[in-house]
Amino acid sequence: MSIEEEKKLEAITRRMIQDSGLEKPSAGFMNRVMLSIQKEQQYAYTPLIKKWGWYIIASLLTAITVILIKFSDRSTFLEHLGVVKKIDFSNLDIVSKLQFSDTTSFVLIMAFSLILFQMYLIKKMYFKQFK
Amino acid sequence: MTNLTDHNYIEKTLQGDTLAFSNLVEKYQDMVFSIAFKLLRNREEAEDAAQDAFVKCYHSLPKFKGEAKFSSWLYRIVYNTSLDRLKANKKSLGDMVVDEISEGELESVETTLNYIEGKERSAIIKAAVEKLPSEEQVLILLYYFEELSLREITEVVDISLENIKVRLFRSRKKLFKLLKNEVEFLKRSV
Repeated sequence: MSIEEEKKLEAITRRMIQDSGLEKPSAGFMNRVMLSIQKEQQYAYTPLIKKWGWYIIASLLTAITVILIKFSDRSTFLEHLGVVKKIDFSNLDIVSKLQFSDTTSFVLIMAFSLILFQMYLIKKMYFKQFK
Repeated sequence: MTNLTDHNYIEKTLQGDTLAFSNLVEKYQDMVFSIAFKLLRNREEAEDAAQDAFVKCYHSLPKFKGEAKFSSWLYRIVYNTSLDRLKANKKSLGDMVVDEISEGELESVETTLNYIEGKERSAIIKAAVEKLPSEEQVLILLYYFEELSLREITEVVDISLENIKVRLFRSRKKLFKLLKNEVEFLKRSV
């Protein structure tokens, strides 16, 4: 085919396709789409704990873990803050027991991490089932 | 870039006005349905696919950044949704052999088509287009009807620019041959 014929064929094709128009869905198609969207919205997934909530939980857990590691062998956290000096805990004697060995701290970190990971997996699984 | 009207509807939808999305559905329903129909070749299945595509589009709207045209993005969703349905039904996209178009054939077919009445001509063209492989029908629709550029078509279908050019060239020739057959059949039956 020459270039001119090719151009002519292109022009004929364009005209023919535009003449033939589009296929049309059945009547009420738009309403069905909107109904389906609205139905899904009624059962829309809203997480119990929002994203920022998870960030706060994660920050708190991290802070607690760091504190536990930092003060486990030397002194209690409350002693470090000077709270023990101000309040007399001598009768309770709980604070002095709040001491963790390196092994305990390690186990606690691992447990927290695994719980968080498990929560993430369970959340993902339920979300998938919901969808 | 997305045109202003689409952009406004998208913004309103994202702000929680679900009904604003119905304007987008109304505007694009024929094109979205046509793409699905060309791939699936069944009206019921095509309607289901088109509906799925609009619902997916609605849910993915927050991810739409407006870098591409909204229409191209939507067409890609319906194209992929229809292909998934095709795979699930294990249907394949057919193909046919193309012969060369000889000189004089072009004018003869065009003249005959011009003599035919609008509705009948439209039916003949539709019948010829429907005999093309599904993917080529979509390419023809996007290029000649929707007048998307080749680069925009690459955003809709997973085919390289060069490949689209080749396929469009082949489709044109096939379509012409199919139309010639339809016209000849019509001449014989008159």
